Amino acid sequence: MIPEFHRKFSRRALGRWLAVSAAAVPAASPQRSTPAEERQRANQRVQRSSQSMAKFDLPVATEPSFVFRP
Amino acid sequence: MPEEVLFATITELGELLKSRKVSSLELTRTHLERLEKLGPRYNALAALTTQLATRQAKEADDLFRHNRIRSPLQGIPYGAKDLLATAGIPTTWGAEPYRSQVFDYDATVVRKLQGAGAVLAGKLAMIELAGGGGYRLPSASMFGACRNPWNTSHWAGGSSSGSGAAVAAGLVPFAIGSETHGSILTPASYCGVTGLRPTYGLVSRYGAMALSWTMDKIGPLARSAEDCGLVLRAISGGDSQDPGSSGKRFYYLPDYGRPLTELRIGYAPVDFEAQADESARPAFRAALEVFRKLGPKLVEMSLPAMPYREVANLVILSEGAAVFEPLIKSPAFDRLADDQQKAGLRAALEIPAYEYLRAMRIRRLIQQAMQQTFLQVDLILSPATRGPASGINEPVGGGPAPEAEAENRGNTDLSAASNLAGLPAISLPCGFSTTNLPVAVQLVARPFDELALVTMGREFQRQTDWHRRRPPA
Repeated sequence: MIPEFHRKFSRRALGRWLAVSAAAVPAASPQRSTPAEERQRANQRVQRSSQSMAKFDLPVATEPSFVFRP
Repeated sequence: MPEEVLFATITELGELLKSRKVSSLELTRTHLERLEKLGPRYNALAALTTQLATRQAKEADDLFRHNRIRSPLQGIPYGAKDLLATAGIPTTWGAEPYRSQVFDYDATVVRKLQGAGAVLAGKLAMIELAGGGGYRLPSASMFGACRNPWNTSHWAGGSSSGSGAAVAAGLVPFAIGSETHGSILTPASYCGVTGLRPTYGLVSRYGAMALSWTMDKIGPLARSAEDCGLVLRAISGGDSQDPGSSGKRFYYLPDYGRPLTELRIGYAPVDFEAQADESARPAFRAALEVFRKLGPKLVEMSLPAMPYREVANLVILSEGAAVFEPLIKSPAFDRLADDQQKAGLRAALEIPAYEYLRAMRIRRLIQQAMQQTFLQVDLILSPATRGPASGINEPVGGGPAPEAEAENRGNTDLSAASNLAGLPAISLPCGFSTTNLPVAVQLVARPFDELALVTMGREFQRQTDWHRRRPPA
């Protein structure tokens, strides 16, 4: 929140406001990506998982665990 | 109220309530005040349930006055992860698009706890949609990044973030969380509390937000293994409204557990050394020694090489995208906080059916592999997380250890493997990192062998006091 500048501030009040403002600024976050870049990375993650699973030797008779009983 | 009471176990609180040294209403008011005052400091609170809690506490006190005890939880306040439906109270799923969502019924777990006489003091913050799309930052929540009570510049873990932080900070004696892949054990480990993930199907999911129909589990975070056992006894049991319900229930009978000396615990030394964060290794080594001295036979073992993490990711993404398809396709979807999570869910809508089926077929083999493993051992022991909590602004997860790609992966994929196989696990605080943050070990058991987890956990906690430590005031 920005204070109204026509108001007079005591040094203490100004100091308090500056401290709060500094705390409200988020710490440096990793560089933001565009949605397209995020999407591309998400696709790549899915692709990597798929490729990794494709390398796994899966017997043809293996059925999916649909009837799930631990 | 003395700090000892705020950090007392369920059994200790039960004694105070029964002897009428403390009333449920006093205890509840104290916790409501703490939730209101300190909850926002950690971003742990979703909503206070003051009216409901006051009514439930008065009912509990009435029962105590008539010497009627419904359960060991009677009169004890708790918090529920904000993915559990509570009639007439907002249930946000941690996500901005659901800020105003209100159900007109209670989740089965909430109903069962009410039946046990427990007092719902508040709904607790969580990662939006339980993080199903794969989030980048702890701030992936409409409540903001949940801060760790041990060091507020660190994360509380997710997705049951508020549940971990609230128990650690003495805001509630116990909390309910949920886990699809790590969401109970990670916050329990990071916050230095005990967390129990039950076998799939042991606790009803009715009224809980679905993320993965085949992997979601609901369980307690509390001050001790024994407390987790007491809560699990109250919330377990069959439920015709949950298609995944096993119909089984948990009986907490620690004296009927197998003698510790008859148990075999499997572990991989590499998990406690090269695969662990360096700052946590001394605590992990010491914990291993405690288990050795407790009497069970420690057996070196490693999980067979299988694509555990990849299968877990594909299953959760595919099922999560199906659950949230209407949201993903709506404009409200952009109001989610985490860009990576949004991209993950959008990409998940395009996963072909055959990929999901391949994941579910490999999952069948993973289940069989875990069955084989449990012919050799009764429990598997490993660090609950590789190391302590990450920084509040750091990307979550932090990636695998540099050595993780090496041939000897030990049991580093135990979380993915055991969640895929629906196996129960417990997280036990085991000390502090050299950076003064809590770390924990986990034990995994056969399906429905929660008694072995609670019994072993209780014995470990009789030899150690890490679970009794309190974060700085």
